[in-house]
Amino acid sequence: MNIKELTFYRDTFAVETTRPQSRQLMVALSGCADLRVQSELGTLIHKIHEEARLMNATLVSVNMDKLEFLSSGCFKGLCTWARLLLSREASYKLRILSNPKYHWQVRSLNALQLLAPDFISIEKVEQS
Amino acid sequence: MGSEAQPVADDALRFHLEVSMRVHHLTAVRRFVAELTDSVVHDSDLASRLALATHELLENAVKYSVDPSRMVTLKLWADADRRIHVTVLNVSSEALVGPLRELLRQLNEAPDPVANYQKMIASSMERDAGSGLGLARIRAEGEMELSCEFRGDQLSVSAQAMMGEGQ
Repeated sequence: MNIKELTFYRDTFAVETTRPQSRQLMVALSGCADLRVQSELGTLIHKIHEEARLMNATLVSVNMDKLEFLSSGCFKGLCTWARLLLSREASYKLRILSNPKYHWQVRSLNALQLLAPDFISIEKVEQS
Repeated sequence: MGSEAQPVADDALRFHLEVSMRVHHLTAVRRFVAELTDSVVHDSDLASRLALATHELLENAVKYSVDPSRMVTLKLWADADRRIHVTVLNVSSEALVGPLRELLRQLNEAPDPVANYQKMIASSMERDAGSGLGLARIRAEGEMELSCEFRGDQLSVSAQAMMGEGQ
């Protein structure tokens, strides 16, 4: 079941957050994130980080299987997440599940991982 | 009727769009550019990089336009040297163009665009707007050259990629 406070649906973009296990969060991003959701996504990332910290999470997974595009402004939100992981000694690791069909993900996620390589891992989504 | 048909290369491309640019058009235009270029050059990686450049340039045009009631122009074409160009034109002002020229000079001259991009990502987190991250992304992730020109009140910003590099 989605965590309502950590979930939103907009015209072309959605974030759905669930708790698959007691100390884990799963964040599914889908659609196209552009200027319209930039601020909201940035705020939500801070909330997710805070929730993960409060529940002493060990892992937060971000599923980008259905994320068609992320503009640079929204990408900056993910980069800020990397900074939060580093600066507040996070208890958890960030595991990003990518879809190589979207070529931009390969390049953007490589850049993201370099910001906090000890905290961020990138895996390909298993296609069913 | 006297006109002589010119031979057209398989990867010939010339597209010109004028639209009252609103942010909700961005996805449709980006998808169109990706599908059109992929169908012409048969290189999905290049198509993705061109689509990324299109989105970032158009989003900048929406953000920084000094007259949102004016049309934004998108041009997409391949030249004789097998370079594909994405150009976005919109109304701007000399005050905005100076810093843009300096940013493009810095991006184009950086010996390692990816390392430069990482530095810009780090510094962008200290700023709410005007970080230049979209252009740096085109340069580093898109592996494209950038240029700009200001004529009258029209600013054109271009990104260029070579065909065949991603294959």
